[in-house]
Amino acid sequence: MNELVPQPPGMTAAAWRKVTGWDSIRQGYADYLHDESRLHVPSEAGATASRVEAIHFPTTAQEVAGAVRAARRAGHRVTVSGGRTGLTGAAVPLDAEEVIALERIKPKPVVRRSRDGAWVVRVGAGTTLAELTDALDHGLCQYPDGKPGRPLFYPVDSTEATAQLGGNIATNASGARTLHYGPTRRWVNWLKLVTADGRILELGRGQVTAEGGLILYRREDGSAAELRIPDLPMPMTKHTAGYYLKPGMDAVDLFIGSEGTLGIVVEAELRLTEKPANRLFLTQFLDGAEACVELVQAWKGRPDLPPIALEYIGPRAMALVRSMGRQTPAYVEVSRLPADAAAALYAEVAFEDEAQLDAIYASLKEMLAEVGLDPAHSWAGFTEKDVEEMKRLRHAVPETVNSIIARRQARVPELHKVGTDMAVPDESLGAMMDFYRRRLEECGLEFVMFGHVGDGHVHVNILPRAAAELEQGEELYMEFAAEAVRLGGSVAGEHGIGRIKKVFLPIQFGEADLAAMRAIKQALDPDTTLNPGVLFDL
Amino acid sequence: MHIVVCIKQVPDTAEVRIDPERGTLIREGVPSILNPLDAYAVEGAVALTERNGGTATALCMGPPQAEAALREAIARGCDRAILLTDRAFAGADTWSTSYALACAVRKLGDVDLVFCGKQAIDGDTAQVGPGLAVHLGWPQATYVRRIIEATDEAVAVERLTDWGNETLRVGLPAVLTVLKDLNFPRLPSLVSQMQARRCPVERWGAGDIDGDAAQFGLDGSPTRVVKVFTPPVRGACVVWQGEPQKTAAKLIETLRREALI
Ligand SMILES: Cc1cc2nc3c(=O)[nH]c(=O)nc-3n(C[C@H](O)[C@H](O)[C@H](O)COP(=O)(O)OP(=O)(O)OC[C@H]3O[C@@H](n4cnc5c(N)ncnc54)[C@H](O)[C@@H]3O)c2cc1C
Repeated sequence: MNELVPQPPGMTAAAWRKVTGWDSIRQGYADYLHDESRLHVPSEAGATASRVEAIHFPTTAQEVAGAVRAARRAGHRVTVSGGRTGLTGAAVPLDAEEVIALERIKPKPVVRRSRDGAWVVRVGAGTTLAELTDALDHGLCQYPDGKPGRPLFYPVDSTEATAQLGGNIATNASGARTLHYGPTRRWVNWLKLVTADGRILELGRGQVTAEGGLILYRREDGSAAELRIPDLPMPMTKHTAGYYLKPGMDAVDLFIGSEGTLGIVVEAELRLTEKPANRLFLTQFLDGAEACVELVQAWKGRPDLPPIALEYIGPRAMALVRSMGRQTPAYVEVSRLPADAAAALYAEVAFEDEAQLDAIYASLKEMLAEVGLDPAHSWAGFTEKDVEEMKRLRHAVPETVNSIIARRQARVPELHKVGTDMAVPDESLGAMMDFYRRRLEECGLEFVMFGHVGDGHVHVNILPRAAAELEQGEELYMEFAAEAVRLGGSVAGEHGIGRIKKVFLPIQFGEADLAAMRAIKQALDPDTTLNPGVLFDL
Repeated sequence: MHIVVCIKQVPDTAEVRIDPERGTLIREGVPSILNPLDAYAVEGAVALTERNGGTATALCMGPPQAEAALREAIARGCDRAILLTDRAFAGADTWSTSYALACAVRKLGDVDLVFCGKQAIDGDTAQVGPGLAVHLGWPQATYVRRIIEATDEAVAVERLTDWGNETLRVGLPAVLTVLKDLNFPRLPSLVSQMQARRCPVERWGAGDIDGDAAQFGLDGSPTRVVKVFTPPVRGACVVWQGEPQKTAAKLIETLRREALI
């Protein structure tokens, strides 16, 4: 079947919690006016600038649909608000008069066996990643088919655990373990959505697919809108920029990663997987970026050592965290770093059986020796506690960047960090990292590099010291994006496009492809009710 | 110098959850870990032997699976590991535990110094270290936050008290219980983790440590748990809702009236 047929929500009393009036929102609900990017709705917004008139806190799909309909009746547009951990301003209500916050949609997760025998979990969009992990780890879900025999987990760890699963789906989030487990897209089985016209659409994987490059959308008046699906040239890397469009595609994939512009995720069924029985966590210290690229390449050539994650902390990132002394939350970890640890590669390797460990160790030693590294120059562990300590060091990098920028903003308010998100194919990793470093050094900018190096996805954070450097940093970002695309990569590996990265879409896609995306948005949301100003300016 | 570090394996209390419906503790998904405060004792002992020469022996009383905590101590630099494990030790309170540990230390013979963590995060008693000193008849310094100097005869330490820091010189052999301030426990390397996996852990039973069997385990424990209960909630809780500015003003006014600020 290739037809999407949303259902009317039925009658609901408008009993959900609502906050109305710009003044109460501005004073008591300022959190809903920004995300983790630099964007925010100015609290002194005047009569003409964007002013949010209502925030809705629905608890069911019917209520979400009711809120959409109420907004439409008032001639208002809606921003969909998740955990607001996004880094692209997508959840910032700059062009919308109303906000729908999903945080109250968090029923107890239900773990059950699907028809094909796989374990799945039903979650509300407002459940956070941390809450799902906790519920799975401690048996706090509902288990209508009995409890699974082995511990299960949801493997997409998008770093910031206060993100909501609805937000994760809307951004097709990924994380350190995406190297092995793929992005969110791979784990979504079924969605319950509210459409831009305030109806409810339940959509399981395999139910609706593009036939002959076409998906039909049944409008409320019974007529059908045509969604023409082109064959988009999509990079073979991590990628969250614009809509996912492929001939024969599953309609579920259209909504995943659409950044709330095509529908509101209210509920989802996610696949789960067994926790590996054993894991080795390793932070290998390095003397610099070249060693990291060499090690990653060596590692990728070792089928006997499949890594679940390969994460990088570059020399400047390491030095920056160290320079914070007692002010970094990773002070303890930094204090026990070996003095000559200039950079680091964090890796996770899974194994079933203790007996395999000796062989893994032998392979690791051999591989490290090949690239001239010393296994004694590392941190290693086998428990969640160990990994927590190692991750604190990694998390300290963006935190340190943010606190330095915050201090500079006191002097120059318009300053902000320039955080990039490009991914390139494995074979171009070294070239891309060299390019970053060479251009940043030529421009004399302060920067750090860190992130998902195993996926060819290293974040560059530029820390401008003055307005001119900010401008230079933004120009450089454009240059980097073009280079990434030239190397076969993506302008946005995981954070999406949102509001602040719209300039990068035309670098990735040609005008015809962008027109096809816009046409899909217009077919599903002709009045631009959902997330206006996100992805495109219509 | 021969230093013994006494360690305990505890449930990771940060992972304990309360069943929202029944109000009971949930044990599922609560891993056993090395008592976090003991990591400072391990590091203190290892650092001292690295500086002054000698060996660090990790000593733990517990069920067979507590071996994991000992391996962690080895990975963090200890040279030798001994697990006191025997059904006869089961149910020991702090008195009986410190007695058994004292027997083991005595059996080792040439011990100069015993390090313990401040307390275990499951029982929070802070009694085993001091108990051990009493059973051994050795001097002790608790809440040690800095080791100023250590020779073969004595250690000079700074300890935290309610009224400030106290500097003590303690003749050896002695027992120290240590605070987090003492050091930054190292994280093991891949090489030391693998060595720890292969290192033998010695197992000693009740028959191996020349003690009075009547003092071991539940029978040797004078502590009796009479009742476990949740203390009743004291006082009432008031929730004010409304505009943040008005509510804040009301709060300030109330606190002033109650002479709390
Ligand atoms: C320190 C830090 C580290 C991060 N690391 C990663 C990382 O490793 N990988 C990664 O992918 N991201 C990362 N992020 C970005 C962010 O956490 C993810 O984009 C996350 O998926 C956003 O989820 P959220 O609930 O916070 O969404 P929000 O920020 O609230 O919203 C993001 C977008 O999703 C839409 N949306 C939210 N909920 C719904 C819904 N129910 N239905 C439809 N649309 C919805 C919003 O309208 C918006 O367009 C990081 C962020 C921070 C602050």
